Amino acid sequence: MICSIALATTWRGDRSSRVRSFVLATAVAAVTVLACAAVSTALMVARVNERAEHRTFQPAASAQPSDMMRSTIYDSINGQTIFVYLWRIETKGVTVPGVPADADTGDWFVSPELAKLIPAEPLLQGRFPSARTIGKDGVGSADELVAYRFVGPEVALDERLVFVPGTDWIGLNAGIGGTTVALAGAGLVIVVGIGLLRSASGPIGVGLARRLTLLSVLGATNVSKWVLTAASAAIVSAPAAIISALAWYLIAPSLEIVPLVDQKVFRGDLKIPLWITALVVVGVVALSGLVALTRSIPNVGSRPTSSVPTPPSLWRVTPLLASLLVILYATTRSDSGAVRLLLTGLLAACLSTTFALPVILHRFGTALAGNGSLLSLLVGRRLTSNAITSTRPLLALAAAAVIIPVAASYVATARAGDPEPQPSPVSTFTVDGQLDDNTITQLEKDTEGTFVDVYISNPQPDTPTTRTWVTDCESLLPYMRLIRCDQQAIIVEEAALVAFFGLEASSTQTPSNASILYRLFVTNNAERAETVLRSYAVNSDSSRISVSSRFDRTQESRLVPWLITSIQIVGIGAFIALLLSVITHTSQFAATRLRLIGIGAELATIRRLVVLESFTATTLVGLCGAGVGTVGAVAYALVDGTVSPNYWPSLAIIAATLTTATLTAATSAIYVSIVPAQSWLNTHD
Amino acid sequence: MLDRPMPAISCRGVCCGYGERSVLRDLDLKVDKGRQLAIMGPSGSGKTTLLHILAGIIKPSSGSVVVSGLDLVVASARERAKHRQYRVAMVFQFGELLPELTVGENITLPLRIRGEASSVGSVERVMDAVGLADPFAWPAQLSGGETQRVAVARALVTEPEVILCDEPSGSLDRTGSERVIRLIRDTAKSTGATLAMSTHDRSVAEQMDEILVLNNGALQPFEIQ
Repeated sequence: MICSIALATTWRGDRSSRVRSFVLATAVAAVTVLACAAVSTALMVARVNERAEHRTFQPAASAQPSDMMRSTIYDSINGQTIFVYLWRIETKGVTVPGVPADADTGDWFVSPELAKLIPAEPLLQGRFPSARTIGKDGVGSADELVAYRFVGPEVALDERLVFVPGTDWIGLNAGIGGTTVALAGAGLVIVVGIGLLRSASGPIGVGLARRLTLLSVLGATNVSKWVLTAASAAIVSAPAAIISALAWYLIAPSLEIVPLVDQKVFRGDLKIPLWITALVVVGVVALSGLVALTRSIPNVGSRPTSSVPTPPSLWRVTPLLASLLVILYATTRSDSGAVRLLLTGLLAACLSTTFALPVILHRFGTALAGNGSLLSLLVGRRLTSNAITSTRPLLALAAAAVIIPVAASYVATARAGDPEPQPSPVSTFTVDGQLDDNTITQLEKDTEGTFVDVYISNPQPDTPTTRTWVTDCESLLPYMRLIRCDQQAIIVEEAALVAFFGLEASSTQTPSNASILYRLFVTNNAERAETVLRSYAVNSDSSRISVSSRFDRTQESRLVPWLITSIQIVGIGAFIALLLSVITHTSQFAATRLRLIGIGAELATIRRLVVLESFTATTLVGLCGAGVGTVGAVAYALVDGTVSPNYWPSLAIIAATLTTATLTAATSAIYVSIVPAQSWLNTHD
Repeated sequence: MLDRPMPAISCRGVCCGYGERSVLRDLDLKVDKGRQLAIMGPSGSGKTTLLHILAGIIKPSSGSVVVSGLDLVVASARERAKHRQYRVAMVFQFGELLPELTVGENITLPLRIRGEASSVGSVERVMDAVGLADPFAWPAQLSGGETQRVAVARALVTEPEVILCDEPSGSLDRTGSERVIRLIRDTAKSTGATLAMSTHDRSVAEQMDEILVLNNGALQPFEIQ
């Protein structure tokens, strides 16, 4: 019985019922794919971290025999850092993960991503000759550019290591924990999912209201009505959820890139087990049922009842004011807790803005109603009497408007933390130590630079190694200002410090008991130097050259694509939810339309009314959110201090708000124009 | 030869339906100016549909409809809207006031739609006529009878030639019903307006000049059984 009524309300209903069911099914499919993608991402991150931890080592204690020796140098291609590890196995039987046991001195191994680049890059072919590919179990993230070379005892290596799983990683991991991703994904799915499902199930609720009323009249209990509501949602949701989840289950294992984020992954990294897929389906269908219940129950009644319009309490603004005070206070502090305090204030401001919006909408509506014209009276009064319900579909927009300027500040800060590009008047390149004097002279002449020798102290069991750069003052002086230059130390101006990144000591004299590790080429003409040195590297087939400053993106910077994608998903979800809400709201406006038509209002007047109401509410909410977001972004910039306040994101969100408001207003106008008010008339004889 | 006065309402061969369901079939109707007509009929017989056609809210699928001299079948949507602004007023079953406007604002709404400024005096006059006191009350604060009186006041404020009432007492008790019906009839009589009212209540219908029954999509004379 309940199933047949539920079917009659949805798929077997009239055309508009089927359209409403299709809209909900589409929303359910989108939410299911989003949920599956979030689960896949969390599992992928866990897999990457597991692999990264699989190749973990830690420095050997002074008295402890080492399993292996290692040195790390950095190379680059197309602006991406290649992590080059020089290995020497000290303990028989110890292997580097992903490398076969038969690896021999002189062998090169490269990560799969680097292996893909080598055939198209002659320079890389010269640098990593006859390289074999590191096994998947020895590579963390699929986009890692890693190279291993096994060297003999003639090469001095500076790190004594023992193999201890789970302690430290040698390269890149996912940059974030699987649990954090799972929580963030769950938050994203719940926020976007509830918003979308709530908006899409609105029309279903409208369609159900009459049947539920009839059942009430016939004596149906609340429980049976709830079951009917949930069954209607399930009948629409389940097929969509099952189909989309199965599609993801089948497609995910073959994906080599995370959709939307463009993050490279290995085949199988995004795979999810069947039982988790089934759980996702159950979860989404249950969520859809719950959302439908919350939407339909208020509609149960013989006729919509009106209540005396009451202004929203002014107390609603208090949390927002408190949040802004917290933000303001955070900007006055300079300790490490300031950022945490600021983020807390921003999160609170994001939530409290949505709570305060009805007050702002009510105030604006009151002012508008006092304007005197017919449209401003009607729009103003509709805003004041429905301030809380009018803001509900716009909450996601408000939250997005707050978040985007702040997130833009975060992105700018995160990217500012990256070492590239570094404004420096001096550029340096790493060159293999084995260069004859004629080559050195020729290269210095061709490239307007000078070579600096880097020595490594011969490692002793109880003493740490030291890397010392050595040159004479006259050779270096043309390229940087020297603050001190003698046998004990060479101190250069701050802007040139990057040239000697990671080197522990400097001198004008060759250190005793040390051997040359490599040379740095210092120049003021990086472009020419790179061309000449790369050409030399290719032609000589014996030297490796790399940009000396390591480009290892910070964890914050590596999260940026994920953050941007999340915001895009929230933004798109908010926009779709808004459009659906507008349609629901406009369809519920049918009774008012008929009342106005009955007393002589023209369609053009009604169209102007819905356009003005939709545009005003959306614009007001978006601009309020953007205002709070701009305050937050400026505060973030002040607290962090590494970036200047950037007002472009605020201008962008204002432009986006106006565009969204125009689109939603146009949608309302089109809906009013094409859907006759008779849909409401049909319920009467 | 004297010209016969044009009827206030004239319908010939009107047909109307929703989808495949036919509600009105070849319906004819003529109501002279100043006359008061009651339309009875079972639920679903098309009473509301007929009144909405007479108000120009919906168009019939065929036939001709002339109300206060305007052919509603050939008139544009704008002309039909003007028709409702100046010549015809509608009173709905549940009053259908706008809940977000006060009583006074609801009453003057038709004037605002016409682009006319309403004076405090005109509002008070109409409110006095229907026995209402507080123009600042909200619709949610009114009883069913009061709501209907506001709806009547809203219909009268434009001084229409034709008043169409869709079961105006359907949601009221007997006392409230009698009061509202008397109000509508007396006002129509005093202004010379033509009145067409749908009702289920035989005692209400019997107060009118003429009673017709809508059955099987057509109007038939009411027969006392």
